[in-house]
Amino acid sequence: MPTAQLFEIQNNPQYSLVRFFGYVDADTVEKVKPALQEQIPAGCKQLIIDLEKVEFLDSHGVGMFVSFLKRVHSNNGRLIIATPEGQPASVLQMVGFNGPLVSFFENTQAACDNCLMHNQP
Amino acid sequence: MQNIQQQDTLSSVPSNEVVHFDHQFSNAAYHDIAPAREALLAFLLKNDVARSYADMLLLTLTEIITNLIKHPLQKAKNIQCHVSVQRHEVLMDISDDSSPFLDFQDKCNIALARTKGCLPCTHENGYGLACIMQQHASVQYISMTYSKDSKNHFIITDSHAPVCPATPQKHPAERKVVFMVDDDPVALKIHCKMLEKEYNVIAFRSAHDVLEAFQKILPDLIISDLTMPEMDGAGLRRAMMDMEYGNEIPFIFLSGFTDNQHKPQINQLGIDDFLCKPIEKDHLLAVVERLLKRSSQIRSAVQGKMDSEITELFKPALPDNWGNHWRFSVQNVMAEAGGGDFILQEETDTHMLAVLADVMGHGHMAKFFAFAYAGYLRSIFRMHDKPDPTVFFETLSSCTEKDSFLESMIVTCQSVKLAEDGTVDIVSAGHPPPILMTSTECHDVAVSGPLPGLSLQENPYKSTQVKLAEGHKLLLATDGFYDAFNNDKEQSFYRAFMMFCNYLPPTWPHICGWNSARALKKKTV
Repeated sequence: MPTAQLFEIQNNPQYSLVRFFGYVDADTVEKVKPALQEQIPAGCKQLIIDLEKVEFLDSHGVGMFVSFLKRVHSNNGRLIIATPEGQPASVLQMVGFNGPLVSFFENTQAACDNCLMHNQP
Repeated sequence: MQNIQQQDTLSSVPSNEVVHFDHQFSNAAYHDIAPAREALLAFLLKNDVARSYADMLLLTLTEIITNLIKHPLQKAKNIQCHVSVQRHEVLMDISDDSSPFLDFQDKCNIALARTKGCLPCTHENGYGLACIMQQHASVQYISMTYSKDSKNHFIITDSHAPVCPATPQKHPAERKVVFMVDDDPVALKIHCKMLEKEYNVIAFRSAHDVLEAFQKILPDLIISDLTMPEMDGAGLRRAMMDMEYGNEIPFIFLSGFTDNQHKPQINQLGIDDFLCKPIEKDHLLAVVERLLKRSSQIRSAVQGKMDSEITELFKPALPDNWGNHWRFSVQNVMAEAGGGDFILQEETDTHMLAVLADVMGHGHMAKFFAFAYAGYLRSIFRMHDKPDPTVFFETLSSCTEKDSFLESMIVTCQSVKLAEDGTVDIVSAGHPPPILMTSTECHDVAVSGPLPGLSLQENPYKSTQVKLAEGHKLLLATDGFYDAFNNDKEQSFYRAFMMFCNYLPPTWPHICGWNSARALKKKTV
């Protein structure tokens, strides 16, 4: 049985886009976090996390997002959450993951467009 | 999946019976949680538990099992998850044989406070307990030391869990309740039939039956025949007027009498309408709809007026000036009626002590607690001749540990002691840091301290001193300030703060604030 895809990443000059699939819980975090730390460029200033295909998010998933936030913050950048809906959106709201350094967009395209507009390579 | 012993039981039974779900983990690992989650979801949906609530239970299950895998010194060999559902009542009991958690309740309170009272997005761990605490009416942890079966138990209970209706029809509980009383069984049946698709109609054959039922059920409308044996419609109305809430329920007479014999008597009863038999269905429906809508409007208007009066009564306030160099400004924007923010201040010959506090929660209940808490803080103020922020918090913390009422609340506080020369001593108890704005920069003042009553150390409160020069502003805010800026996701906190200050008219340069925010500024001499 093939392993389900957990994420995909697109790196552009202006931003990086990480799209998660299915569950983002402790199990997923353990599997994907080392790979993502490696694949997200060190100097990334705009990181989009796309939650459109995420069915379930837990506090470990939020913790991973916080680590991404710290990373882009150290580059004087920002973290963007795209398509926060349903259970993942409720969890983000519940833990207060909505500080001034996090931006939210209804869909991925709007998030990407905004990153291009900011144009902070 | 090899090390998991799955004993999921899925059953669909009538809604008033209790249904059970059991799932057992052996030497569990993270990858065992998703299958358990999927099995629990199937069970909950099959038993008509609303998806939004099912998601909450799935998150709680995930957080607890993850904690049990990650944290205990001695790992659990067996974890048992049991869920019982009976209509709106849900119980989740997760038992395990790991080494127990110490100070579980303190950890929960601190985790909860961190998501509420401080700048978010700074910690990578510790959100799980906060999620569990926020989601459920009751969360208990019983360590194996105290449990009968020598296992640790997480027990979650919710008594108002939402359920999906079995049919697409509006749930009867959501429909307006109409009491219909008539001694003529045929007329009673016909009139009930006219309304039963739209309303939850309860039929009665006598006025006495209505009065008895009224003790248990509060209807939205009463439709009564006028002439009935033993007690007639007028007698029923008079009896209702003497009962609690009886005067607030719309009342209609539906009678076969059309002469003027009863009119003087009826006019004194303050009824809402008088309908004559026979009546057509459309007419009856129209009258009932109009009266219920009007009744809702009146209730909303009265409630709204009460809300605004209570909110105004408890509005946080400070004097305009203190001494020769300090000006104060309070800005308070209520997101809803009620709210739990308040300010206290105490003046001496040499200092002024002010406290900004936020009782967690929303609405009138939080306001009630805030009011009670404010009274308690005032009494602590009075305990010392010369109020000092550090002593104040240590006293409060000590009182909280000994008082179950105070202990049951989560409150963040911050106090400032102001001196004439511009010196400010700040002490915080789980509160967002204050912001100092000078002529060139705007930054946090690094100050922190545990919530009252939650410290594990002695003397945990340290005073941080800053000195304000002319034109400097110090802003203390409750976490509502941060929430307000979150409405504008694109706005940097400090940039928004600066922009807000720039909008102020030049004659009032010291006012700065947003939601429940207070600004203190050294007055320009």
